[in-house]
Amino acid sequence: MVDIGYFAICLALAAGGYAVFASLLGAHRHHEGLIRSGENAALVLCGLYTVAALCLWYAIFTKDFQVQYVAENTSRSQPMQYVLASLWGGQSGSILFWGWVLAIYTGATILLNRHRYRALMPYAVAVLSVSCVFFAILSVFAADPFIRLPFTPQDGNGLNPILQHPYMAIHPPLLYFGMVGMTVPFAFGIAALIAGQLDNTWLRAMRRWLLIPWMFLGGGLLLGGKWAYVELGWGGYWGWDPVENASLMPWLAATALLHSVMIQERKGMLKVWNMVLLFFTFFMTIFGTFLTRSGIISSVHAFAQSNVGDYFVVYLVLITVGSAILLLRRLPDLKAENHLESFASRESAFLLNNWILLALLFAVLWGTMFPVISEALTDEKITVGAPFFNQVSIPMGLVLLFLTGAGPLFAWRRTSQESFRRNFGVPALWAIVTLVAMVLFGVRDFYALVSLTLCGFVTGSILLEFARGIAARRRTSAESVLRACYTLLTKSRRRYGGYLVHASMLMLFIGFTGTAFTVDREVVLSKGESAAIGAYTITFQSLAFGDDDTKSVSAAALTLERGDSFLATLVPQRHFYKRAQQNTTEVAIYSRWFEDFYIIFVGSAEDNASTKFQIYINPLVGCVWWGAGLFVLSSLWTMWPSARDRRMARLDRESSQADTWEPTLAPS
Amino acid sequence: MRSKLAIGSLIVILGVIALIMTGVKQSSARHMTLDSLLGPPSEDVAGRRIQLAGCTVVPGSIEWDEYRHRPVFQITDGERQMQVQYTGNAILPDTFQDRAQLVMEGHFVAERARFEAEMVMAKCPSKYEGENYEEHRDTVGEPTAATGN
Repeated sequence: MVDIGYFAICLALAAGGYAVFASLLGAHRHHEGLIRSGENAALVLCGLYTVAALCLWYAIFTKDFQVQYVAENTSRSQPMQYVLASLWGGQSGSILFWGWVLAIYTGATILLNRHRYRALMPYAVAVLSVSCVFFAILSVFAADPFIRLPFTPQDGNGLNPILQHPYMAIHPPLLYFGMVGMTVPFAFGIAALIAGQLDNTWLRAMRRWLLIPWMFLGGGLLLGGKWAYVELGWGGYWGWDPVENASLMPWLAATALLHSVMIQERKGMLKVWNMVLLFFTFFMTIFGTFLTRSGIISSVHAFAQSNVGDYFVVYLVLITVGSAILLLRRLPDLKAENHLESFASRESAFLLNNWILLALLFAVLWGTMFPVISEALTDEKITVGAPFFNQVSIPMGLVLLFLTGAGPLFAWRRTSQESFRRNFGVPALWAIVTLVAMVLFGVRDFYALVSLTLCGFVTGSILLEFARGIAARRRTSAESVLRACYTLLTKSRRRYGGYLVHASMLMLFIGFTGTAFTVDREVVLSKGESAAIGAYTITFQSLAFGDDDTKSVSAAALTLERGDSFLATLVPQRHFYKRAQQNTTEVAIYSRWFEDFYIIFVGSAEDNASTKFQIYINPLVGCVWWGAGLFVLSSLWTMWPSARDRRMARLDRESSQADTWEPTLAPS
Repeated sequence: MRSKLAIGSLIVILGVIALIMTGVKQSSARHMTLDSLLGPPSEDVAGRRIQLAGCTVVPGSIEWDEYRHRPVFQITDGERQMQVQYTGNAILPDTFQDRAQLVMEGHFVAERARFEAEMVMAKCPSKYEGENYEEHRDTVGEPTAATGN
């Protein structure tokens, strides 16, 4: 099986090479047969990659420890569901997985666009195939997952116990689907430049392909945060680690792009900017991967140093130079059709949103790269930590939050004073009411006050938009309020779905603001003893020890009360995994709708007479998880094909069958 | 409108630069390895926040405090060795164990030749992708059959 896998990758490499060649030649000679042949070769590549990935999975499932990758990343005692995750648990496997996901995206792009965007498709297929070829080269020459050891070990190393968690099994593939998926919009951008078809067609072609990885990236990031929160035991969910930053940066760039393409679609402005932003988004996905795999940034969850870094440098240079040349060649065709007319306009709001998102990206990049930059400039390697990122990102985040609410209130072109008053009145009132309420409630932290006030503003703005839409519908038809709301959401998915995405951002910001009020306490208790933390009282009831084949467990039981009412019995634990010789902390969390009570079992004194606990009270953290859920659902809602999309797809299919496709397939 | 736009973007850019500059000033740590920290003193490291990387926990050296919260342990880069006292608040990561690769932030206390770490990040040794079969055998177990390749 292992040989089949290796062979499949080699064949995929060849198929990819042919796909590039056939697509480009076919497009050059307008030879539909060649173009189709290139597409088919890319589909074959997709199949071969699938075979290779299944072979590695087979080796993992059958515990073929002679394969070095299997020995290093699985073990006999590993539960089945996490054996699955071993495919992407190590360096070479994850590169194979990356290539496979890319091949799947390539296949999906071809199958979904067989009858559409015919001028763009050959070039898009060529770009996608080049990317597949790059990862196939990596798998064959630099990070072969099918390498065998000269002996067969009895057991493997296994996946680290802290990674054996359902969230951790889903989080990496989500991120991969996000990072890899950015290749598709990039391919359409390049295709538009080569084909010279620079009207809104390519924007239409790529928008959904941008939304999909954007959703995966965002969802993956938040899920990773959730995992850190429940598993790592430091009470938080985001640590600004280089690996986290590496996936945040492309998400920020893609968010900027999603907004600015709207101006291009509507006003024909920012054409060059959007191209650059698209290339940059893609560049950041590869650059982020390079950062975490080349060992130039020290991070604990970076992969082992290896020579794949060199390959990535070549690839990055190729991307940059290639896209720059293409862009410069087409510069005259990318003239703006309109200009900015006023600061108080939707366009300006979008533009400011772009600047801030990019500025935030730049700050994160600067912080992440600071060790490298400072070493180059001053010979002294300086690193910056979480305080830097917090200090820089909070003000920018707040501006973005404001724009989330304000953007939709501005009119296109220019906002008259009268409409300004009409649009901003209600949200401003919400903001003021929130501010007063928060001050009365006792909130004194500056940033928290600003943030919550803005959250009030955004809530007002989103509700106002919905209220107006519903009122307009009810004027023309006798719909109920709920019915009208549903019609809005289905009839203009992009607009009202977009507002729902804004609402999810609002919830995330409320959650982030909660970190300003975190309480962090250490307590030492003996059996029967109580401690008061904030409004809560915990009482230490008992300590228990257990043992099974894989791990031994120490657990403490505590009752949690608030006032006179009993809330829950909490059982924070510490596990010791025998094979990995590693402890894991199993926190206990009691979630109430506005705050979490988070308790960690630190350790017991020698005679078990007293035990130390660490406690965090995390206000509003639940909003982050609710916001995450809403983010994924509302993005899905926004990108789901509307009835109109489906009708247009059918028309495309019929028209292409009617004129272009059939004749060229006939023997000439 | 053009000049207004230029002024607007200038303000945003300057604001961002100012934010970054003050941020860097307030939370920077000097990246060092055991070699550069214990080697010939190139400059004053006292009182400076240091990020120490490229070291592993000496097996058997971890001495926990009463409640298994803040240990004292030895680190090594293969040649040199140094004592570390963990002073942070958060519990140490689960991956902190013998032979774990560490990245730490804290201060060097020259009088005691000891590093006081406020933050410790650890990478589990099993994640180490060794090229060396000896090493591999140590972590993975004795071979059952040498099948050759």
